[in-house]
Amino acid sequence: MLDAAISGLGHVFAFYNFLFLFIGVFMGIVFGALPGLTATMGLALLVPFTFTMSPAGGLIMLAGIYVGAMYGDSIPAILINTPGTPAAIATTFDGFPLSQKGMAQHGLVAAAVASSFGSLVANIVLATSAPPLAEASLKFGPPEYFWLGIFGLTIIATLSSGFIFKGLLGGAFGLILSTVGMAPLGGDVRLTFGYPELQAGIELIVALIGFFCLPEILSSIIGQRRQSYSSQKVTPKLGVIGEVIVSLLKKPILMIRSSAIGTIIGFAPGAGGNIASMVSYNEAIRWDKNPKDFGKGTIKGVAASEAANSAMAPGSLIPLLTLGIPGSPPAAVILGALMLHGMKPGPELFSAYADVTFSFIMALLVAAFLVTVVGTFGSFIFARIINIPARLLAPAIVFMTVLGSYSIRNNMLDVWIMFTFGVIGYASNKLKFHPAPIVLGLILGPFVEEGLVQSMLAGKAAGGILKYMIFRPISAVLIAMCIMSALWPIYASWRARRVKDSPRVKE
Amino acid sequence: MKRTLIFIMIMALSGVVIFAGPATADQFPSETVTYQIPFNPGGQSDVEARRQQPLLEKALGVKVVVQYKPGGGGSVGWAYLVKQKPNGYFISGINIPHIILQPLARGNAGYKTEQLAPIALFQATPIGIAVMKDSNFKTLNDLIEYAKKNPGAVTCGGSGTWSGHHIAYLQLQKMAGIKMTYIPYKGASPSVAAFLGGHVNTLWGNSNDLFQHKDRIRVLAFGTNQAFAPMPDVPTFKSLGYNLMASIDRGAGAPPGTPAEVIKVLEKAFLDIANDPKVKAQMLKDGFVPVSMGAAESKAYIQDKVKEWAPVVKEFKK
Amino acid sequence: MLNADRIIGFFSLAFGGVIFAVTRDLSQLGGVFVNYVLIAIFFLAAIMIVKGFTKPERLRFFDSMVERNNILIGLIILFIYLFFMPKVGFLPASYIFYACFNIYLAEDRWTTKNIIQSVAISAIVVTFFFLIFHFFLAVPLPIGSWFE
Repeated sequence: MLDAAISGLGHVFAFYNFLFLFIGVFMGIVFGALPGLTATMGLALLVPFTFTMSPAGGLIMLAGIYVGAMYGDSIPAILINTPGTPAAIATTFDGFPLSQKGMAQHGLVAAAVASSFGSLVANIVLATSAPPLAEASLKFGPPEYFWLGIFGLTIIATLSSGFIFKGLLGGAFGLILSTVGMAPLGGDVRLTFGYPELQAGIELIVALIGFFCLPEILSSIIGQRRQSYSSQKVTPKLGVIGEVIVSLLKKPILMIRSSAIGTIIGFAPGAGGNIASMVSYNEAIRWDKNPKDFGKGTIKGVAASEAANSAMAPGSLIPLLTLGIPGSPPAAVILGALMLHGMKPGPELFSAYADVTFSFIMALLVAAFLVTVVGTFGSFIFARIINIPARLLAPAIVFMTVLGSYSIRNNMLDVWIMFTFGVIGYASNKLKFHPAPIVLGLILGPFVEEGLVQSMLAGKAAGGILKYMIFRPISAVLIAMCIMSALWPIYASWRARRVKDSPRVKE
Repeated sequence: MKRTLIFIMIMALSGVVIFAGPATADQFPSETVTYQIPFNPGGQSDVEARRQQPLLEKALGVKVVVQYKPGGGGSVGWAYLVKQKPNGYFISGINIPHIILQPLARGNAGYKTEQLAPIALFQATPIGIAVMKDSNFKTLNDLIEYAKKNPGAVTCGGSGTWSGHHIAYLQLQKMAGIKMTYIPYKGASPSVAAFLGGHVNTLWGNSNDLFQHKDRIRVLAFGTNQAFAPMPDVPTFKSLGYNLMASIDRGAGAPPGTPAEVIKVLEKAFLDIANDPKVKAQMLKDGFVPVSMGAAESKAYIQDKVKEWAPVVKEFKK
Repeated sequence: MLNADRIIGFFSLAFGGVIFAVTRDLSQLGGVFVNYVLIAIFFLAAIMIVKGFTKPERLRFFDSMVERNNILIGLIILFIYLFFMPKVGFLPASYIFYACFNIYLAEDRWTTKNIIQSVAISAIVVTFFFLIFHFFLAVPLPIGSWFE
């Protein structure tokens, strides 16, 4: 395997291939950054171009796009509170406050470094242990997805500012929104109110732009006539790069844990990176000595989210390369590309086609480094974007989000949905009701529902629903995690009170 | 300075009129053709369309752009298709049984089966039922006997509700007089993953997926007339006494009212590709069955299928 | 002063009621999840209403009349943009929207300099992105029913 890896590396550095990789990374960053464009779209667009190249060259470029997009989505998340793709939602929680404090460059560099680290860790896992991990990933059945979804919902405890029941209510709204469209089981068409386009459900990115991007514009730029997106002008400095890297190196556990979470969630087929970053963010808060830092703008939060969402990408390729089951939508496009080149997923990818496969994996690794370079140096440019006066920037953002919302599914209804959610998000922010739990419900709804109903069906056939859903190894672990996660806030406030009362704190 | 800016604005706005200008339609085709795929990129319909794209461009002499409009198992794309201008510049992939079952099963799918004007059918993916290699069911009969004694205990995974897999499952239950449990998944990939992970006893799968994993599974039967060429040892339902035909067929269709001459041109392009020996060999290699049915033949085939399935849907939809 | 909790609580109750009403015709498999979530919503709404009466959180929605007017005008501009886009086509609607929005957000509204600046920048930005989306990404953008 080592020699295949080295020969793969050789391919990557061949002149044309490296050029393609660079182009791929650049395009990936652009696609990830523009809200409304996604990694999947970027990959789908460039697959035809890759026909004319050698399989290795084509896959190398696709690798660049995928990795680039996983970093690119943090740029608008940090600068304008809009996740470039759903995977970067958690990056907004600390990224945007950072840029509000004038520390946008810190956030961008942290995102770049964390993205690379996450990618690196996940790629090493992919290259060394893909086949056994893929088998393990098959053990995720309906009950496991259900408990994973519930575990995701317990994050609401962290996300709800204040009264936890408000957050749960938001989550419930999100769950209802996720039912719009065709029922996964039962085939009913739900809540479409006569619009056939809604059969596909509410598009996540449209909801994200509506709930995250528009309310910010409405409240600051329009409502309060703020002249600029951040209260302090950003002056990018070279020193910031070193400063951020050093402070992240001082937190190895944070980085490794976040990357691990991303990789694992990545290879549960279908779970995707949308929840990886949020779970990682939540865990970062849970295990940190100063949880109050989070939410007010700390690079720890950005790093936790970005490391996980970048680790997700190679993770999702594990079941793809070994079993042909894509772990995420971009992975599905890569599957298409592989099929077109005549490469069928399975053991032969690692034996007969090992050369090309390892070129692909090495490309993912090298792309991770390229991302660090492009990201840290790009931060000088990107950070300055929010120095542009709001009266020019805001209309451009609105225009681009309208364009983006329309082009995802080529339909005008999505744009109206975005507008409606924007108004609702604005109103809910005013009522101190953070929209993040709604989005979380929207994302997790399908998992929870499918897991629940499929388990009910299978459980009935097996002779006992509850028995079916609980007495399985992975489920048991997940259930324990759910309980722990749900009860944690109680434990945490008990602990905080104890520390406060303890005399030792006074010194 | 002011005048220059106003001039620029006028030029920009008139650019709109140019872009919005009417299509010059002297000889079809003379403009870019949009080939819509009503599914996500990377799926099987997409892969096939990508293979056809360069060949179509050569045959038609114009650019062919692949566009995605996923959702609702294809219904969003087909609902969009029937609203397009019937000038031949917008076509879509069509899938049977989807275009038949969706309007039957759903109150309003956004389109009606008769509205789609078929151009050609070029690929068939037989559906088969499979168990894991270490399962106790060695033949279809074993499975049916067990199901008779244990109603509802056998779980069948498949893709979607009111889909080809689901209908095949319903028809087998009726023909064999048994009761099993159907567990739908959100697509072929998740159902295959669940099956391989042991979460369902049997799988209603597409031939390409079954072929890909043939070393780990045992296919009990395929829903075809003749044996499935890449896996000739597997019996057909027909040979075992059950008149069950099940497959997913892929083709291309146009909006209602597309003139016959236009369809003829498109039909010839698609059929030439379908009859190309290289294309056929590639399909077999991947586990598909090449098919080449022209517009009229496809229309008749679809109507037959409607007659076959309408009563089944009505019966089970209670 | 608005009682935020009561508003949220009653709104949730109404929302739950509407969803309940329209989902009564779902099949068993399609409706089971919806029902469970509805139960949760009614339960949580009740909690919010109770809190609204016992320990309410009061706040002011708009900090000032100026803010309220700003938001309303901003929303109207946005609404008009979206409403006319399918009718006049993407490009003209966007040019006009961008220019108007720019003018509106500026401190010095109706000066000639401001208007011309806005129109010019609008032309450049909108055209640039349009070219990328239309030609590079081949996304069909609304032409506008008035022109067809």
